[in-house]
Amino acid sequence: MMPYIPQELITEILARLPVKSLVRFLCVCKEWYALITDTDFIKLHLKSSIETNRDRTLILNEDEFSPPLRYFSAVQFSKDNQFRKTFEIYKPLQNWVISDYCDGLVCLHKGYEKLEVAIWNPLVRKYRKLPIEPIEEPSCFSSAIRFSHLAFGHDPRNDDYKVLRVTEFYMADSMEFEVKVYSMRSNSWKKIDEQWPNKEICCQKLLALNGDVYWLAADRVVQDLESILAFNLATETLRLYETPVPPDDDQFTCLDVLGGFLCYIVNDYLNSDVYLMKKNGVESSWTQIFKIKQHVVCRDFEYFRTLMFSTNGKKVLLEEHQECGHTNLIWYDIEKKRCYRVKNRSFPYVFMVATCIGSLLLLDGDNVIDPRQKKNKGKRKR
Amino acid sequence: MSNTSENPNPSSSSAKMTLKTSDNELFEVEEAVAMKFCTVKQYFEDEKDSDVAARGSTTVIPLPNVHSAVLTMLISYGKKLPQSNAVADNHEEEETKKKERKKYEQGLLKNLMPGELLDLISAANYLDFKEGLEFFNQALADHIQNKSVEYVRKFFGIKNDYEPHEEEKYREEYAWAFEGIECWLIGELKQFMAKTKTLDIAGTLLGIKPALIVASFSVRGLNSLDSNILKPEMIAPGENILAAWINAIGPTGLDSNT
Repeated sequence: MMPYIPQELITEILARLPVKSLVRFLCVCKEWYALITDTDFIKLHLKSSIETNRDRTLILNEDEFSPPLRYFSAVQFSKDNQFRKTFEIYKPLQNWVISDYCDGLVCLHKGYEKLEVAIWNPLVRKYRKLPIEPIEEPSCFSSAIRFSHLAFGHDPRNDDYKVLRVTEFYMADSMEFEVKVYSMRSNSWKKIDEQWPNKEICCQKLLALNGDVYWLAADRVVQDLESILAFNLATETLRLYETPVPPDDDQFTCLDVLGGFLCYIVNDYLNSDVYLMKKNGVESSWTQIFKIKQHVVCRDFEYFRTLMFSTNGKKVLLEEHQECGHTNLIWYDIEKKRCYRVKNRSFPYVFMVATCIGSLLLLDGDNVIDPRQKKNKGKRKR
Repeated sequence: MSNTSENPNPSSSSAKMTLKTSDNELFEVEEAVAMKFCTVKQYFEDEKDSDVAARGSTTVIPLPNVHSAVLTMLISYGKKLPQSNAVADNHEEEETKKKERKKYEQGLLKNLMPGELLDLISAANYLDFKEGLEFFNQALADHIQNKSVEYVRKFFGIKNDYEPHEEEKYREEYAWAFEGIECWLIGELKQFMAKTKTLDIAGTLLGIKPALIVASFSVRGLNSLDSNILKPEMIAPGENILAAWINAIGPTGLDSNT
């Protein structure tokens, strides 16, 4: 006799499953379909994925100088911090580039101006193209050089996923900005009219964390003054933070996210210092968590990005970029001050990592059809 | 068969509680373990408040929804959990205990039939045994993770309410999710072969109706070694049973084999 299992228990059990299993179980029965596609369940499942590091996949995004490939290399990460075999993920849109990622969703764009943007869930194989939003040039800036930046993040207050596009216009002495925000809930763009401070964006990417988008900005007037600007996706206002240490001329700084906190890295030829803002939004909580001596990592590394902590928090996974161009994934042991390179011959030569976690978001998007998949259709096994 | 619990740790509380299962078995359990079942804890606390005079006698807490076999397993799992009243161990002892617990958990799951998991979850839910529920829910999720849709339906007793063309549509759209999963039959076979079966002599059964008739072609007579034994020595019901044989030709060379 089958014991009665109440629906809350079924929900509990299903929330512990990886994405592939849940997508398959959509066709068990209509009740399970409704359960799995329910927004509250999707949130619960995502939370559980983040906590248990389930389905954590690193997508190795090749840089724009490599010849375009049809597939991304990806590698999954098991609970005990071991890398599994690399596999291939079909690019939903050929010749598009990864700009940002959040909660299992990846933001892609095409073109220098980043007019065409799409959001993709690689583990569910669905994507959605955003409506194209033109860049409105400010008056008197018709011959300006312009550069667009994209960021993709979650706004917890409105439970919405948003894309921020900041376009800078440079003329000889002055600069202007155009700022637009896209909301997944409303599937529309909106222009932000707030007065933007006269500071250039001086880092490679904008970072979204906990409802804010952060970047490093350099003052146009006072050359060496570097600050961190944060744009809140809910209130749509800017806030300025000071960097933990004022950097010197010959130091190369970058901003990153590590373990859910904002991370500030100062590189020079001898050392790299890593600071973490232990309490989000509190400037005084900047703490130096470790310092890597260059010779420990390798002689000619140019810079690195922090990716994640290991499960016990004692090691940090770094994406190391060498001067010769080669990229490596390295585990750095904070206590022992030693590095362990992740050896994997199938990693591309140069790459940037986009991290995904098991998420059922965007199940209602367009399908990504892998041409190799079509060939296997004939040999379906039961 | 009532289960008397040992008292391995002399420093722990020796207060015991009696639990009665659906099949009227009585279990004496240490208070520390029984308190992990929040339903029991609630019952005990309600009892405490109500009748102070009757506190001298041991209250028997009825568990009408839990069978003795299931309760045995839940109690033995509960004992392996860190006790709330235990003295705090140092780091090394904690690590050793964690490893022991993991080993025990693995052993427990190995010998468990998947159907028993559902009983354990249902009982742990009724008893509000949070750690047990957490563990068995995860074990069940791990078990069904790589299984087919048909297996899951059979396992939970779910009726498929999709039209064939609707289901076919899903299978085509999400073909990638159906790759590399355990075939239903192989799964069942694995479970069957994991358990060894033993034959028990049941003796002679009388009064079975309808009486089975031995097939006309089956051999009869006395066993050549011991005339007390009548042929057929071993028999099972059924005719024209298909057995395995190699490709073109059966063992007898006849067109049909029995």
